[in-house]
Amino acid sequence: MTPMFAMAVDPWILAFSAITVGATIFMGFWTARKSKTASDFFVAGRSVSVGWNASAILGEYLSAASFMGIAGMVMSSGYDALWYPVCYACGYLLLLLLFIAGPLRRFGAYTIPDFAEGRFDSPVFRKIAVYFVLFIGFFYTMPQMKGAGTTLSYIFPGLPYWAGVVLVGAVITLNVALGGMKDITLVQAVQYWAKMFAISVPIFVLIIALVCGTAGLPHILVRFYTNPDGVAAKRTTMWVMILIGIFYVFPPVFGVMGRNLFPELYNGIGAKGTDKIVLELPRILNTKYAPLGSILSGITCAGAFAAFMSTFSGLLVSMTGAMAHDVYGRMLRPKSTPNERCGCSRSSPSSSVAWRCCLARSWSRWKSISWSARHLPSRRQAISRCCSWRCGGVNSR
Amino acid sequence: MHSEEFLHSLMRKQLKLSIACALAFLGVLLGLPLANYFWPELMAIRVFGGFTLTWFLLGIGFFPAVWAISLYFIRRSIALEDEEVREVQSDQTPEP
Repeated sequence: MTPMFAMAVDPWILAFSAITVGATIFMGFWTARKSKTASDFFVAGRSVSVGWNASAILGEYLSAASFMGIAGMVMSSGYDALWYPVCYACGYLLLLLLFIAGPLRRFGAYTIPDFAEGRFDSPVFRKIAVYFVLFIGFFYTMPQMKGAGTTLSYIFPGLPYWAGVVLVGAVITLNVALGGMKDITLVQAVQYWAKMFAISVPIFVLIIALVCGTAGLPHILVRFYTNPDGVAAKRTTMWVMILIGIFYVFPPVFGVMGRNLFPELYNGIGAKGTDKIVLELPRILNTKYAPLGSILSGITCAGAFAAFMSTFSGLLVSMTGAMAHDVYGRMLRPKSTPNERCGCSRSSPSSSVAWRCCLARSWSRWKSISWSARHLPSRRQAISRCCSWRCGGVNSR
Repeated sequence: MHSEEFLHSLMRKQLKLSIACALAFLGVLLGLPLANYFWPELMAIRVFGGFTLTWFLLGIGFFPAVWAISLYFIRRSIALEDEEVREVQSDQTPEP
């Protein structure tokens, strides 16, 4: 087994990962080009399909922690770690569906800071809410970077961990600066299905190949074309629940199989430890069916890329929005024109990434990031997406 | 149509529904560790070949339970809104 860890770059894995990164960057360019019509579309408040919207929410929600971390934790801690995915999924029900989505929507607020200021009639609460957005975003990006480092040091065995972090940080910054890519429903939806594909297909092939069992993946991609109202919002949440549940069945399977098949990972720590079981496990097929294991491992690598890239850029966009719309536009200079706010938002994504992985490079001149900041300011990820329903109302003031 | 009273009665009903669903959810959530504690032999039964009952319930069985709760909540919540609207409209129809 040891030569497996010492081998050079696997062409299959590299190819799949490169395709994912390439496709993501391409989508960034593509949406940048199409953003004008897209903004017309969303501001006009026309309907978005429930299925796509649910997928889009999950594209952002399922992070590197979900994709790699849970499998690693189930492998190292067993039953206790199995509670994590369950609680991730169920927190959605308890908070969003039952208590948050309804009141927020009824209030007519589209972001948490908006709600805080309006409800308590106090700009202080807006400030507090903005700090929370930035604080949560900052700490949420850390594990994404860890996932990036782990994956890249798996693909390129000689590459130091920090280099992976910096590289992925650069790619994501470029991407956000180019397209504000998180803001097009389609792109996010594609990211969810990429992850779903990547986590489920290798498992199924593994189960079939190793256990000779059969299983069927329920491909549920139902599109409802509805009006943007409360009923549609609730339906979307229902679909989010369903899709998230299906997704979370798979990572523990990786963990349990890793427990039996890859005990040597217990010796490693950090990027060489159980965290990479999702990436490493499919390789086991290489001993019998030569390239198949590498292909599947390439697929899970691609899924890992989709996971941390989508989550990271989603966080980046929402933090950018908080900086430009709330901190600059409302607190620092309330009388600033939309154009000035855009100028501010141009520099904020690059600066916030620079904090994180010391990237001094500025992508600030791109027109498209100003689009994303103008039209989607401080949209707090899934919560607001459930409620706001892609409504452009918050931007029209 | 959009009187305060109308809104408040709807909000009260929906809050009640929310709390009921949350309690059901908490029941399921806390029920599993309690079952592990009080009936360890039962939860250690092997189902579907490999895993024990408690693994099965937590890893897979949990999600359908949550789906059922959210489906019920969504159905009821929408029905409540419809009922309320119908009531208000029927109050207004006598006027020519």
